[in-house]
Parts: sequence; C-alpha cells; structure tokens
Amino acid sequence: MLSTALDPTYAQVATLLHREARLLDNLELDQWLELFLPHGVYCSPLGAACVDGEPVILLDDDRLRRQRVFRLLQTPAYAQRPASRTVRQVSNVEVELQADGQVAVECVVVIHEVRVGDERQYGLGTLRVLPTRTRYLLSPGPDGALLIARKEVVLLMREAPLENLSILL
Amino acid sequence: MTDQLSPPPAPQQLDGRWVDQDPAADRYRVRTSAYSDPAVFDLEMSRIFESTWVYVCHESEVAKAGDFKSTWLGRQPIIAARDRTGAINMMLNVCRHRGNAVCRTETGNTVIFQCPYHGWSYGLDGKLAGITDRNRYPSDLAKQIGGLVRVPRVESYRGLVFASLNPDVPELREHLGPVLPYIDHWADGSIGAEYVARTPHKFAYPGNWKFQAENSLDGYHGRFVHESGFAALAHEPGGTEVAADKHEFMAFDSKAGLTRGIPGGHGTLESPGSGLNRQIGVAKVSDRSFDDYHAALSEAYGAERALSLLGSRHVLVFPNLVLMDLNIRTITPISVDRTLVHSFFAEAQGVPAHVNNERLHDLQVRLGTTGFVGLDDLEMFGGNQTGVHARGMEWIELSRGLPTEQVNEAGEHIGAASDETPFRAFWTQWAALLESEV
Ligand code: FES
Ligand SMILES: [Fe+2]
Repeated sequence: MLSTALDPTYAQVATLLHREARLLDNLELDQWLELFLPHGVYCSPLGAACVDGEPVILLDDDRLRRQRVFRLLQTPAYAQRPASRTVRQVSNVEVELQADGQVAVECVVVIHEVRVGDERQYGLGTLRVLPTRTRYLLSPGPDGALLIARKEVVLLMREAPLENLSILL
Repeated sequence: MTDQLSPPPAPQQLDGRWVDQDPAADRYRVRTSAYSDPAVFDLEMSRIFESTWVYVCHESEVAKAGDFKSTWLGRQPIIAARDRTGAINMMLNVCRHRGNAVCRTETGNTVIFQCPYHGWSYGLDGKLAGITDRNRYPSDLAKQIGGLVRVPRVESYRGLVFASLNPDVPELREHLGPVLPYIDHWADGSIGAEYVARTPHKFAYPGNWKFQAENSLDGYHGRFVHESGFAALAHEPGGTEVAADKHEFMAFDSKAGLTRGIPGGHGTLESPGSGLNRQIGVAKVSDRSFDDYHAALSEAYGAERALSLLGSRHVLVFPNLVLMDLNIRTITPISVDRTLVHSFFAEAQGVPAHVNNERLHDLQVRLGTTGFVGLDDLEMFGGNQTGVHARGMEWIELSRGLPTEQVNEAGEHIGAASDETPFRAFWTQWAALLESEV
C-alpha cells in the first residue's frame, strides 16, 4: 500500500527524514545514533545495492556506527579537520507500508558539502554536491515511533573516484 | 601492426637536480619542485610511466575471453582485453580512422570493439576487423593499418599484469628481480591459485602521486595521522577506553618491524608474523578465521612460512603498485597535483569464505572509501601539496635512519620500521630515470 502526503505515516516519515538531515548537518551525531534500532544497518553500495560478500562503501552495524561517531566527535580525525559543513535536501519521498508493519521509504537526498577554508589550501573550500538515492526500512521502536532498521545510501557518483568521503551520509 | 609509438618528447632543460644525496653529511634531500612542477610531471610521464614497466591490472580483472578494461598507461588511453587464446592484449584505445576512443566503458565483456564514430571495428587482439563502406578507400588500406596500435610489451607475474610502452625494456622478471621474493610472499597468501581482485574502491586526492607511493611504506606517521582511526577502532561503545597507543593496531611501531629499500626503487614496510597477536597482517579477525587461515597456510607451506605469511608486509613495486596484505593499490597520476587510487580487495583462494569476508570487512573499515584510517592519510597529501609550492622551502628531508641503516648481500638497505629507508631507494631510482641525459 502506497502512502500519500495526507497519510499520517507519510507525515511521520517526513518528520523523521527532516530531523535526521538536520541532526547530521548540525553534527548532533549522538542523537542521530538514537534514530536507529539496535540491530539497524547503515550501508552504501559500490554497485546498485549492498549485497552480502560484495565490496561496499559503507556497512555499519550499531558498534561501527558508534565508533564512527566517536571518531568524528572525539578524536583528531584529520580528514575532518577542518570539518565539513553540510546542507542536505530531502525530496521525492515515496512511502510504502508493508504487511509486517514496517515502512519502506525511497527518497532523494542531496548532500551539499564544503570543508571550511578556501583554495589557498588544497582540498578546502570547494563546494561538493553528493546526490543520492536513499532507501530506508523503518520499524516502530519501543514507544511506537518509527526508527531506522536499515538505511542504504546509493551515491550517484559511487563508481567514480571519490575524494575524502569522511562525513556521514 | 608495425606502427611504433613515437618516442617521448625531449625534456626541457630543467634547472639542476632534484635529489641531493650527501653521504658525508648523512643527509638525503629531495627538491619540493619534484612534487609541484608540471614540467617535472611531464618528464615523469615520459621517462617513468611511458618508458619502464608499469602495473596495469590483475589477471582476474579480465578473467574470461572477451573481458576488457580500459585504463591509462602513463597518460596514454589503453584497452587490456583477453582474447580467445587466453592472451591478454593491450592496445591504444584510439581508432585508427580519426582517433575516437573505441571503448568508453571501464570494464565489460565483448566480442569486438566497434568505434562509435564511423563503425570501424577491431578484434580482442586489436586487429582491424572491418572498415565501414570500405570500397571508398584504397584497396590495401586495411592491410596498411593493421589494427589498433599495440602496447609493445605485456607480461605478468603471479597474476599481476605489467606493460611498457618501451619495446626495449628487459624481461619483466629481470626488471622486478630484487622485489620478486616480496611479491611471492604476498601472493602466497592465496593458496593453490592466485588472488581474485574484487570490485575496487576508488579515491581521488588533490596532491602529487608520489605522496601515496611514499606513504604506503611510511612507518613513522601512524601514531599521529592514525591516532583517530586506531582510537575509534579500539573504542568500546559504552565501555572503558583503551589508550590508542596501547592498541595492537600500532603494530608497525613495534621494534620488531623494519623497512627495506630495494634496488630498482621498490621497498617494503614489514611487521613479522609471530602468531601471538592472532591477527592476519594488521587485520583483527575472529579466532575462527585466524585458526582456519593459519591451518590452511601451514598445510600448504609448512609451519615456519605460515607464520611469516601471517605477518604484515607493505610492498611498493616501483612506481605505481602497492601490495598491502589483502589490498592491491594502484596509483594513477592525473596531473602534478591530482592522483587517483584504486584499491582492490584481493580475495584469497583455497581458504574458507568467512576468512575472506572478515578480511574484506576489516579492509573496508580501515582503508575503504569511508575508512577510519585511509581517509586521514589522503588528507595529509592535500596538506603536503599545499606546502611543496612554497618558495623558500626548497628541500624536504628524507634522512631518517640514514646514519644507521644496513646494506645486505642483496644490496637492500634495511632500516627501522619508522625509517625513510625505502623512500631513499625510490628516489634514487627516480633520479636515475629522470636525471639521465637523453
Ligand atoms: S573515428 Fe573511428 S570509425 Fe571514424
Ligand atoms: Fe597511513
């Protein structure tokens, strides 16, 4: 069953996606972690989709996600010194309710990124645009609110050499 | 196919030399312009990348008849294709009619390469197979042309395929001679058959290609550049912190490691296998995977070599190939300040699937496109490139370990794990090629 903009589920999904984008843009990453279910998967494929045993750009379980956030917030991660600023746009949101109560979402997320600085230093101050098609599987958490069981970020540029992909997608 | 590539352009008269080796002063220095001057880059392309043996691909990337890969050799666009006899052919990716690229996809499988512009077609061996509407041409034109311009030399060793645009280079084995034992050591990690190279991760960085070549063997930078990555990987969410410098990932700083500068510009950064840390190379794996891999290696090679194979060895094969545990890394210079790196997971044969799966995962977490460790290396290269353009800082120092390094019977220079010994071998070879008179 496809959910429409008037549907309460659709509104709940939109709220979650917009909130997630804001948390990532503001580097409120501890709060971002809590959007995932404990068994939640955060991944990004080199090909069309993440496949078991195939090389991937990203495949994080809860532990790796927390380690990644720890690295970005609490260690000298030079690839993020100076840190990137990002602005994310979420659009083309399609929501499908599944028989088991889970919610499948497919949307377009465009990440705009710049590392603070300018061209007097190599690698800084250049605006980069990372268009993605992002798929979610959402499930109700303990209090009934939707949480992320799976987030798969399919980068438009996934087959091109990528420079410094150290931000969260 | 008698056409030869035209010889490299004569070098411009460049001011002075780039490598300053003063044994009396125990100093070894390199001019910053070697990383920043576009004229030096052009010279490197003609005298290194288009004159000597250069790594192109792994045999498993073109495993079946009809498999091809389009890439660069130096700055020349080429196709590597496997034909029905099993041979790997390399030829310029340039149509003999009016110069269009005959192949615009990076990898695939085909029976023929047909130029999209006017439809001339070429076989997997590059031979001209058809000229559209050919009776408008002189009757023997096809014979005169022959086919795509061949890369004159293509040879492989242990699954690694090298090529040279210079027909007069020595045999590959002779060229690689001094580094062969270390290639063997790496390749023996796959049992009974050579590794299979999987879909690569690809990176770009805003810096000179030599920063990646050098950094692969740099045992000095880890505790600074990778403090973050090591600490994050040692971090137990919700648990107590392990100090990063106590963690096993610091293996290369151990006193047992060494660096090796090998004649021909090659080098290694090594950490011997003791089996005690229960790691495969620098990868932390489950006990099950460690034991299974250890058992498979022991059965294939005996206990002593198995232990040695469990250690870690980064090998730089001059100029553009890095073998690091289960990682094949190629370095593609684009311009003096831009470089591409392709990083292939090398899947070991003759071992249980879970061993490969764990090692693939480990490699990606550390050194993949979003890796905890590798991204901080790439960041150094942009900073380096910013610095080498400065006037007033004419030389960089590569003297670390020079007063104490040893030379063995094989002519290898041996230094401590954090020494700049392999860089000196690299630059000495580089200078021999670039500073030679034409
Ligand atoms: S350029 Fe290739 S057929 Fe004309
Ligand atoms: Fe490093």
